[in-house]
Amino acid sequence: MNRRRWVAVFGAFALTTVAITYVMGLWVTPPDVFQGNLVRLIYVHPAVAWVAYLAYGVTSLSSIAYLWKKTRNYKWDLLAASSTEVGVVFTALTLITGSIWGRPTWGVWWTWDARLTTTALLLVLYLGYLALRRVTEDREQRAKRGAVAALIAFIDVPIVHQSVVWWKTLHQSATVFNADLNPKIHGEMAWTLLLGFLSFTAVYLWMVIKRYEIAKAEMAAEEQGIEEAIRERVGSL
Amino acid sequence: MNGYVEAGYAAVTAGLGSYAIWLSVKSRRLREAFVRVKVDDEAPKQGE
Amino acid sequence: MFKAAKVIAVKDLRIELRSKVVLNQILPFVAVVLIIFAFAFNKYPALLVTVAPGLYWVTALFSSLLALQRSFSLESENNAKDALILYGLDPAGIYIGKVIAVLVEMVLLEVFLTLGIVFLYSTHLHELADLAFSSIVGTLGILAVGVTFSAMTSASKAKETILPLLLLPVVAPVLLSGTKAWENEIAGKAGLGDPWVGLLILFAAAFLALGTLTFGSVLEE
Repeated sequence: MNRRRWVAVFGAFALTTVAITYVMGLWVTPPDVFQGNLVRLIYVHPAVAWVAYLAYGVTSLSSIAYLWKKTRNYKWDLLAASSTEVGVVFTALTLITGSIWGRPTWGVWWTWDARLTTTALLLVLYLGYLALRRVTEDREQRAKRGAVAALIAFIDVPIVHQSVVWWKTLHQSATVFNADLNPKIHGEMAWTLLLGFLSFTAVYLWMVIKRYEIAKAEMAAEEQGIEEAIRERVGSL
Repeated sequence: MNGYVEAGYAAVTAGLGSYAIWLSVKSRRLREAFVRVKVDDEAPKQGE
Repeated sequence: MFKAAKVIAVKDLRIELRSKVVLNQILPFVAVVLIIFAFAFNKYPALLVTVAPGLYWVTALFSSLLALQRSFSLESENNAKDALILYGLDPAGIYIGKVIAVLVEMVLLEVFLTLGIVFLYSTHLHELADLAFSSIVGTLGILAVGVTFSAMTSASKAKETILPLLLLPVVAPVLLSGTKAWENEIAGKAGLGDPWVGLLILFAAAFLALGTLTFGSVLEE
């Protein structure tokens, strides 16, 4: 099998695991004693959030690999950009599903909880990174500046998190946010939870591979475009 | 179930689904464009 | 490195003394913002005192965006940025020089801003030394990131819109810590041992270090 076939097979695998997670989460697992059917969101929301953090971890590592002269290679830059874009999709979905869960649990769509606020800032932080890449035309500048911006974000995230945690704990009495999971999750609930994490991670991997290949093809097309333009002006190379 | 659960699953499906479709369409288009460029490149050579 | 920093800082401040853009445009901007906030809280003027620390930092942040853009529009005219590199100036020095020049301008603006908050919002300030310290450290943090981002975007066509998008989320902790530090200092609750001031110091130190190390890659073509 060639590479493209492998990617397609893997995509089908990711899709199947997500479908199984849905069936398990929506129909097979029992409703929770306290949260009722609402607990079914636990099979998607934390998994989606985990993938968002994973994606930004990959962005940070590959940006560092690009900046470090010994490992400098455009592949790292393309990987960082691909992973960020997928990460932004997952971050947006984390906020949406969290909000949907929050409405019936806390009675509001949004609350200034530490985790929610950090996640919202993450979304705009990496949207900025993608915007910076889009406006930087020179390929090498885009790679270097993108990597520096990703490094800034990487250092910033723990500081953001710490400040937001203090903001909520130093000044406000206990928040409504204690929808902590029922500590006694057993049997099929635990398996479905685990499957959710695996299936969304598989979806992430497939998406990053796809996005990376698109980015690589675009870069090749860019090069070819330049070459063609040169050929038109100067004759054959 | 209660509306919220359905909405949550629907949002994830719609979000990931539309992004996945966009990825597939874009990669197919790029691949076709490359094939065309190759054919164009070879065409004048045959005429030479 | 420090020689280059001095050259850049002196150059920028001398240009400012001659052109007076900060004085004639950004300072009035601060005044307008102070007045506009009073409109936003028109029903409850007393609230202005309560939220003065937050308003101070929001205004400082927005005027720092303007000061940064001004500072780098100097370089993008006639490709002066390339000339700086051609002169063989150390990138880290250029970075520090830029930070110092904009910091001097910002301190001036923030003194004016503080006077506005005292007189227009009838806020009583004491512990002025603590307030000044946290303001300078916080501003230094904003500029440490801001100079890097401005250098990245100043040559692009979308520079006006991209800088705020990049800078505001990153400096969100400064806004939060600065506001908290001011609140505590105004309430006379905490001195320099305040963890919020600690966070401001950490932020500024981390990003000054990163900026110094990476400015070469940012400027390189």
